[in-house]
Amino acid sequence: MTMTKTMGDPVSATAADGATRQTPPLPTGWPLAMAAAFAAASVGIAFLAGSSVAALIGETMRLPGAMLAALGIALVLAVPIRRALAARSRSREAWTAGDPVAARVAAAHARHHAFTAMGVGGFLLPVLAVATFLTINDAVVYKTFLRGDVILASLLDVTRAFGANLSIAITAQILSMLLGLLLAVGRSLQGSSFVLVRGVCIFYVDIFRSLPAIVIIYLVCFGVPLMGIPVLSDGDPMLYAIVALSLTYAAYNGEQFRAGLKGIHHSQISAAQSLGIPPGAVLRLIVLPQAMRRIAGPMLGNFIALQKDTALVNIVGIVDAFTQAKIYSANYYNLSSVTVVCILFIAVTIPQTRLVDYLVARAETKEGR
Amino acid sequence: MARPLIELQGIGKSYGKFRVIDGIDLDIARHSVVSLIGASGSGKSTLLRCLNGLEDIQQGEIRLNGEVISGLGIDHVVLRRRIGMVFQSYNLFPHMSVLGNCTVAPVITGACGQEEAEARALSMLERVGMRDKANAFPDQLSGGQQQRVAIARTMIMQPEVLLLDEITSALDPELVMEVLDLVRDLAKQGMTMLLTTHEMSFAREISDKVCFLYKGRILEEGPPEEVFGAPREAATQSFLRRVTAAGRL
Ligand SMILES: Nc1ncnc2c1ncn2[C@@H]1O[C@H](COP(=O)(O)OP(=O)(O)OP(=O)(O)O)[C@@H](O)[C@H]1O
Ligand SMILES: [Mg+2]
Repeated sequence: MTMTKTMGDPVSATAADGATRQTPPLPTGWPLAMAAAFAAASVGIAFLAGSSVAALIGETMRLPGAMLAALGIALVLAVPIRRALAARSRSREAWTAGDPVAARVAAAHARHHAFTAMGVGGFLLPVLAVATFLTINDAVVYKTFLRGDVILASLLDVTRAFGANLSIAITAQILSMLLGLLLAVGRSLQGSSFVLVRGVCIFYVDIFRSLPAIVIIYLVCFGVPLMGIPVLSDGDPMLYAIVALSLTYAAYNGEQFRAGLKGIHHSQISAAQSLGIPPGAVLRLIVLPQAMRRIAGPMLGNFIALQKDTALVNIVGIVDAFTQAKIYSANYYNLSSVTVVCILFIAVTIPQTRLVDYLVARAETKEGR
Repeated sequence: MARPLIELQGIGKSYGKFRVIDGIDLDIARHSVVSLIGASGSGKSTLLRCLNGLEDIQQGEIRLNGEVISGLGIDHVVLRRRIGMVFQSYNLFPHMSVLGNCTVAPVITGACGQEEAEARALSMLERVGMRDKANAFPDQLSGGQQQRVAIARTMIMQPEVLLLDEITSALDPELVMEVLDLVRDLAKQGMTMLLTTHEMSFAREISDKVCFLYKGRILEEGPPEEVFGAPREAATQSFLRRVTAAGRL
């Protein structure tokens, strides 16, 4: 029996004396140590959180509140830690009693409980930290951002103004998709005749992807009226904002389309051509529908970014949700109205984000349909 | 003797400096089946793609029924309706049902209305034994079933000639027969076909003429008994030896 053999195959390796060597259980020491550390930190911060929350009721409540919170968290975390310790000692007994399988199983249980303690601690730490932050110093943070009366007073107007954000976003999305598709098709035109068209499309995308949206909005919304061109310069600021955002996002959506078109295998195009389907119909009936499925997710991602960028129009004086909220915050000397803006954006964005995840997952698992 | 349906004269094609097709002359008589055999990379697929206008040729002339169909200014879109092609990887449109795959071309080219296209599609699917799958989507079908649909989809356009490019190469062995049976039926019905294949016994059985392609040229052509039974060229002999060793004959 050679040494290398013994080293190479630990599970069934045979020791020098001929007895089968058993793999020891996985380590339980460091998971337990970390669980204990997390638990200690959680109890500490629970003490702080309890103290500052209780102080809102009355200064005398500070110490009892702190003790209560710390004790509660300690009791919660004690459960998995005690189980882990118990399993660990069972594992040791089994190992010395010569039952390695039972020892490994018990060690696995010990690790599971230790990890659970870590996981709960990892959840409690940030949550308690935020609770402390919000309530500390007589809840000054809470009162700055979450004052109920300011929220109620501003809710209706801010929500109404949010309609401007939504309509800018939706209109700009449609326009930028159309322009983007044009850019993508222009850039994928083959042949030497279209070399200039390809160049223009590449130039456009490069330029608009390098400029910050806020700068383009500024230039378009102030520049066009300044030029004094009849008709063109007499538009509504809202219209200019839509144009500015459409121009910006056309570059992103165009790249998205281009990636989608390129992603369709050329054999699909060959097959369509070989059936005598004319080029326009190949694009419309064969390539685009397949490309759309694949780019729907990323394209929706762009749309979400566009929705958020609509808040930039406040720099040119359009009354969107953010502008409206700033008016309230100036009047009340309080930022709770801006919290309303946050809530509105979160409320419309999160469902879309989930939808993006779904669309991307679907495009990955299922081609076609 | 009647004029061949397809005449190739001195066809040449290069990708950059690489000469893929190096002067090919070939006649395909109406109602005949011609097979192209040869090693991988010998230019079989490229030749078929040139015939269908999917690739340009740089030299030579292709005639269909006496009419020149190569060179600048040819409307390939119209021409391809007369020359059907089926591919190794089926290339069904994954976002359309079997019926949709079959009707999209006749409808969009104005060959017939939606209703007639569906009627034609259903009867063609019946012929290839796929009628009960008319509403299925390609990813619900086996490879053999997909290839049968692909053949039906091409046949609905009523082409004058059918180009088949290794249509069984992507199939599991037990599915090859159902597709080959279908090609046999088409041959019996007098369909003119030019096919490339690695199934030598099938080529031997179905072909009126077999061409051995070697480095972009037809090195040897003749009736299957001759090419397979008594190949003249050393390259043909060694190719056939290799495929026999691989159990393809
Ligand atoms: N688009 C292309 N650009 C450059 N070279 C190409 C292109 N298409 C094919 N070729 C080359 O042309 C040669 C012939 O290819 P072709 O596909 O016609 O071979 P084949 O005989 O059909 O082979 P197989 O039996 O593997 O299908 C190959 O060497 C290939 O690398
Ligand atoms: Mg090939």
